[in-house]
Amino acid sequence: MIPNAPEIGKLLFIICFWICAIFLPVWLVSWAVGVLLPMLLEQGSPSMAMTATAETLRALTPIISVMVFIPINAMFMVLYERRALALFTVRLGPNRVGPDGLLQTAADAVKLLFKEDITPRGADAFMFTLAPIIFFAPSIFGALPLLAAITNNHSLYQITNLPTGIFYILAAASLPVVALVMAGWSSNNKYSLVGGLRAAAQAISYEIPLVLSLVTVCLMAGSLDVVKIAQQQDGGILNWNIAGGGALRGLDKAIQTKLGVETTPLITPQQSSDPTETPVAAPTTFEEVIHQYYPFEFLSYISAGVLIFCSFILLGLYLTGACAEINRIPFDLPEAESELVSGYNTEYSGIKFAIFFLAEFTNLFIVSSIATVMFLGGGDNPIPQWLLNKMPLEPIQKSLGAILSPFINGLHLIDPDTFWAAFWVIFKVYTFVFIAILIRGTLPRFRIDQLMDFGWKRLVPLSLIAFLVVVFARVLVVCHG
Amino acid sequence: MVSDTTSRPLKTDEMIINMGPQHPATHGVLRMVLTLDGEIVTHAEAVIGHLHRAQEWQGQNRTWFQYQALIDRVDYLSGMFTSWALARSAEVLDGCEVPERAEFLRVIVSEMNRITSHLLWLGTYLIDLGAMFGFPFYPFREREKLLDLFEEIAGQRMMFNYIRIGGVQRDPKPDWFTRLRAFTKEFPDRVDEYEAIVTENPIFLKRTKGIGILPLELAMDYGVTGPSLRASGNNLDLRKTKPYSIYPKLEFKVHTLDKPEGGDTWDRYILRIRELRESTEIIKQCLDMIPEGPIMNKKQIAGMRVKAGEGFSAVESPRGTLGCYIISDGSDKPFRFRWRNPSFCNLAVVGEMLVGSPIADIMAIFGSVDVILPDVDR
Amino acid sequence: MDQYMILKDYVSSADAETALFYVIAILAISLSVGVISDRNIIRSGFILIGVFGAISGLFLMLQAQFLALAQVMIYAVGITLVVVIALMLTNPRSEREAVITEGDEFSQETGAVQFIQRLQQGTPAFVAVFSFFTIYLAIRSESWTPVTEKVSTDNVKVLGEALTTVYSLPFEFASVLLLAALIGAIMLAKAEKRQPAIESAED
Repeated sequence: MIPNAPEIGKLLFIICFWICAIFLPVWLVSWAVGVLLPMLLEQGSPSMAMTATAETLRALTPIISVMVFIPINAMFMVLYERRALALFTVRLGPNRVGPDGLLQTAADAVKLLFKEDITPRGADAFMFTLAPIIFFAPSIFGALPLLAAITNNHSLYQITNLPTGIFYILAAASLPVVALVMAGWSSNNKYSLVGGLRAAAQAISYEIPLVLSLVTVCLMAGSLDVVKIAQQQDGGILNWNIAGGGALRGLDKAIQTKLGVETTPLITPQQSSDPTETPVAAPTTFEEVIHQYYPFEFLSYISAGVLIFCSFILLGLYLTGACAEINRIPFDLPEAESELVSGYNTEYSGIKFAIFFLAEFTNLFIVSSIATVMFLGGGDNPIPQWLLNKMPLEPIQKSLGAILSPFINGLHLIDPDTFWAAFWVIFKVYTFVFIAILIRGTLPRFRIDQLMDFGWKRLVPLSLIAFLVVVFARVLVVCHG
Repeated sequence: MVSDTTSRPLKTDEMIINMGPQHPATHGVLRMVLTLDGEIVTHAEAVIGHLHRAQEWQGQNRTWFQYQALIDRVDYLSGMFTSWALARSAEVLDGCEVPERAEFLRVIVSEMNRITSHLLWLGTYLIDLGAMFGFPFYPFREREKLLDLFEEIAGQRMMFNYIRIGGVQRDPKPDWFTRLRAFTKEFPDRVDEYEAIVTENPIFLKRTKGIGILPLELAMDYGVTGPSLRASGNNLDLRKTKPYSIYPKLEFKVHTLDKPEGGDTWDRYILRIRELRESTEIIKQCLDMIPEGPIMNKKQIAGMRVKAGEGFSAVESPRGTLGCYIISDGSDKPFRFRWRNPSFCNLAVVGEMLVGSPIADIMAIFGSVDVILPDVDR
Repeated sequence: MDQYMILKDYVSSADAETALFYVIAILAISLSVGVISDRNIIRSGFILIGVFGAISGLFLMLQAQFLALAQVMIYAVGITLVVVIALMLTNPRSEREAVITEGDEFSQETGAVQFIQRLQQGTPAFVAVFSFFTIYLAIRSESWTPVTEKVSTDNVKVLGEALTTVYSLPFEFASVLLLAALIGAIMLAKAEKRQPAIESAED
């Protein structure tokens, strides 16, 4: 049937192996720093200094886990990209270093570290060194608020939960362009300079649709806080922002009522907005719930449909803008090989080049995780609760719980909720990464003026229209926020 | 008022960029001196000679037999045609007849070579347009099958030395013909596959439509030949206009695009795609018509001699008219060689086509003319 | 979040806050001195981004998270644009190699012209010193009373409400101003683009 089934199997094996290789160390390190060491320090009656150290360690957990995560993840993503592209282009891909090429990128990383670090003559050495750092730093601290969102606000990562979460991430994402211009200018190379200028023009044009699409999602959610946005979307695929930003939540609740599933009590919006009003009796039938969430009958149904359509458009806008933001094909003009040799990083070698490389792949991961949190419900299970309850999962859960209870209760090594959240986040994020690779394997590159045309004449008006439509359609349906 | 302030142009510096010889996209070692106003090319000059190997001089210092083996390297993507041009002009001079089976074999392998050359062009052209990893490898999949067939008859994948003066080197086994027939059967579907990805791809259309227009006048002035000329509206194809070998016996169409303003890069692309299909048809016909018989009419020995005199002949290579002019003094070494290489003339016109286009289009235009640098420099 | 009691106490103590303020203030001032003293216009552009980064740090210390992030987001990108424009309008190479000659620049001119030229040269310094003293005096003469009420953590909401209710008119004025600037820029760019067509028609 499928001619390259063995290759697909190998790719899947590589993915599974590397995901374990990424998240096992991250998990162990964050557990050691955030749980085990403070626990040891605070045994008995700890002194002031001991407690302070323990608290510092706990506070540092997010950043340490991100630091562990980024290099290993970039290694995996490079291999993943190369193998997946090989699949799309009837090749084999790297398959010599380690079993099935598992260690190819590790070898590449070592090679890059030992390469000579060259600063070209006539370059502004200080800026030349500063550029990769400025390019890389935002991807570390931009990832921090996402940690709280994707671990369902786990107590270790709570400290990174900012009230202005998504705005903070966007501010961090706008910084790398400075580094690109800096790298382009300081390299003392004409190709680099043109690459840097292109990067600036492109990033500024595509930031508008990107930000507008996220702002629209924030408007749907009524919050800038990523944790809050992620928590709103709990309870299956019908609650996710991709399904109209909660436009189908009423349907979900109605089905729950019909099936008689005991879930969280229904909070009616009338109640919450005006506490003085007498509480309305909780609706008990399917029709009642539907009426409560879709008060204008037919008009509400239409606007729910419009909202769903809009949210798909928003996701498309976001992915397009994000592709341009992180310079991926078809928007990889700042480093277009066939025109500008390698654009802004032409003159970089060794560790500096490795940092650029690392940051690019980390940015791809971050962009995908923003999409996951904002559109696909973060760490939420796609199966609705009422369907999940019908599945015979209880014995499995019980036996698993029995095995894991010493780890959970004694050492706090595993938190089942966080584990499942992490599982779904990983699945969704790498699906987005897969889509990005697929796009890279299919499309040619834009030309710079066409890119600008597309950005300003198509995406910006489209995002504004989507914004307006969402503003009006939301009035007719009871949604998130 | 507005026109007052803006009619005075802002003083900007022109930037001179050396594109190549080590640029990743210049197909070998071409150096382009570009004068840029912002990203717009105001002047372009191709500097050639980085790959000059004195092929003509080498020919004059080697025996006929030796030079036959060397000449494939002039245009390494379509070696059959250079061999053929040399063989034909020597045969014209020598007056030796080529057996009919050999002529059929020559047409078959040449058309196969035309397909491999166009396939490689297709792959690299898409790389030029920035489809870095995706599509280019599909053409290579089919090209690989043809190269395997070449390897079987010539012992080499690219430097064949198969077409010799007086005939061809080896008669393929019957199995070879069956495999080739199977290939011709499946290949049109594969071309459909390429077209499904590329031809109507919106980004591809945006990048190629209306770009690098080559007016017919300009093309004729510069002596452009091959698909680039035919895309601009002239139907010059030596297989039809000055038929040689067994081409008069075959039924095929010479594709031209009749556009008054001249062909753009997309036209050159679609023309080559059509030539892929046409070549497949030619191979099919040849496979049906090929007679039994001898394949070589001249003894292939180290001291092979060609009668004294002057001879010229030309063949239609994937890049255009490939001519070979030779003077022989009757010894075992040729006295004078002169090649008329299509890439040389096709490259000359690129400088004119580039003016006024942005940097990004340089490769789109340059790639679409299909220039092979060793063919330019010889 | 009572698990971070000691850390929180320390970070929000007056000593730490004052120390942090001085660090950021000194950083901002020294970077802004760097902006005006660097001969290379591109590099001073990049240093300017550092200045605004430090100022956004000050905003953060004043609990104005949203404002600080807006500062980073808008100024980082905005100044990159300024740098790009500077790159387009100057020739970095010649700038780097330019020899700065001072001294007998004015010797050829007559006394009066010399005086005016010197005056022109001194004007920016005069304006800078004058405005510094004005602002300094204005700040000193005002009596500042420290705010004792707690600042709302959700200051995005406060900002949004303020912009749409109390300050809606100034906000709209600012928007109109920006729109006018945008249209003006488009007009200028458009007129320039039509120019080659006219030229070729004349040819």
